[in-house]
Amino acid sequence: MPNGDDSYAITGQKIFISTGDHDFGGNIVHLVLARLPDAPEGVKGISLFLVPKFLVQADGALGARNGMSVGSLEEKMGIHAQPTCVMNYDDATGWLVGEPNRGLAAMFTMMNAERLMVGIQGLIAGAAYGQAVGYAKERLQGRSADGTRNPVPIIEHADVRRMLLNVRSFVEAGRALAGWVALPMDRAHHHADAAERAKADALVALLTPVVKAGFTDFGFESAVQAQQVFGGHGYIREWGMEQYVRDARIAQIYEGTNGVQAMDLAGRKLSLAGGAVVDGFFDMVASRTDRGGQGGRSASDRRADR
Amino acid sequence: MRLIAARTGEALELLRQTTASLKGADVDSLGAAAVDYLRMFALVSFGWIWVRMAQAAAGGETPLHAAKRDMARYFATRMLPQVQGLASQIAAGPEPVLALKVDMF
Repeated sequence: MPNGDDSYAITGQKIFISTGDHDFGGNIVHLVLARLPDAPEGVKGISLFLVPKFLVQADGALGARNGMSVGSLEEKMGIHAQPTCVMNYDDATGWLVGEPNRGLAAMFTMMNAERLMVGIQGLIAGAAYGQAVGYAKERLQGRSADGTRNPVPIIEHADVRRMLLNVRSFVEAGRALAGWVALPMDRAHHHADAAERAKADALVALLTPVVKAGFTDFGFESAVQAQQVFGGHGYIREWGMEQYVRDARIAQIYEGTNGVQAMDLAGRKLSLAGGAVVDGFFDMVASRTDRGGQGGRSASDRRADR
Repeated sequence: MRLIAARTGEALELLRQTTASLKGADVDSLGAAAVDYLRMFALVSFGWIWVRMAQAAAGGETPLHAAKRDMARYFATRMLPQVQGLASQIAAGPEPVLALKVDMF
């Protein structure tokens, strides 16, 4: 409800709010989707508000506590260091962000960047890989392939190699691809030419669901395979591998479940610019594969790939 | 190197065909295909970046260069072929996904 100045009184509840509150001090600024009194029905009536934990005084100092509180904390499968909160808002003072009833569009500006960052969380697989390799080189079990030595480090067994290589081939590709996607992310913000910014933004929009869901699906599978290398010890908390599995799992779910990401890719992103964005990406891939993988690229080829 | 690029090119072709088949698809077709499709897209993207890494490592004589070439070959031969199965699953369309009646779940 409007307060009569430029602020609003916001009442309601929302769930699954990561670090809705914490004890590290300072202010906490919440973004809250809420409806204005005269808002139309459905998603067209959602507005975005900024709701701080502490109201800020004219001199910038933190003032009174705002009307919001944590209702309860969730007990989760993993990421236990993250307090996941039910947030209650009771006539909390908030300020409109962007235009009335245009809250979802404003929120997605933030969400899209967040989705890329969550994709990076799938690269926890790199840490799991390191531990699994260390174990596989030391743990002695089973006979060598030629039958002459027994026991051998389990890294000599093809099945163990296979699991480790599955993880590593994802991790190294993921790291490289993440670094590559960061370039159009920067260009979308900072390039001097508006057309270049738009082109970069469209490419990032296309790849965002791929990074978010692809990296986290392969990331979780990798955590499981790295755990598997440990045999029974992988199930034992003290060895640390089961934590990777529990923690990697959430990245497939939050910031838009991977199913939602897939529908975003197939249902929305493929038709960007009438299909031109995805065709451009495929053409760029083809320009590498069609030349039979020859090295020695020209300068213009390198520019075209970026 | 040629093998890695060729395998990735084949995977890209499957992805292009599958992408074309989803153009204008109805909600159920998209819903049944989307997760498999995204995985195809991710695999081809990884394949492409492995081609780039293999190209950058081509001719290099250090253990790191050799490891990158071996890893690229591993990916192209032991992980990228998943796109074939995914393309086949998507080509089966949504009917098998929707056939079982709700009260039989």
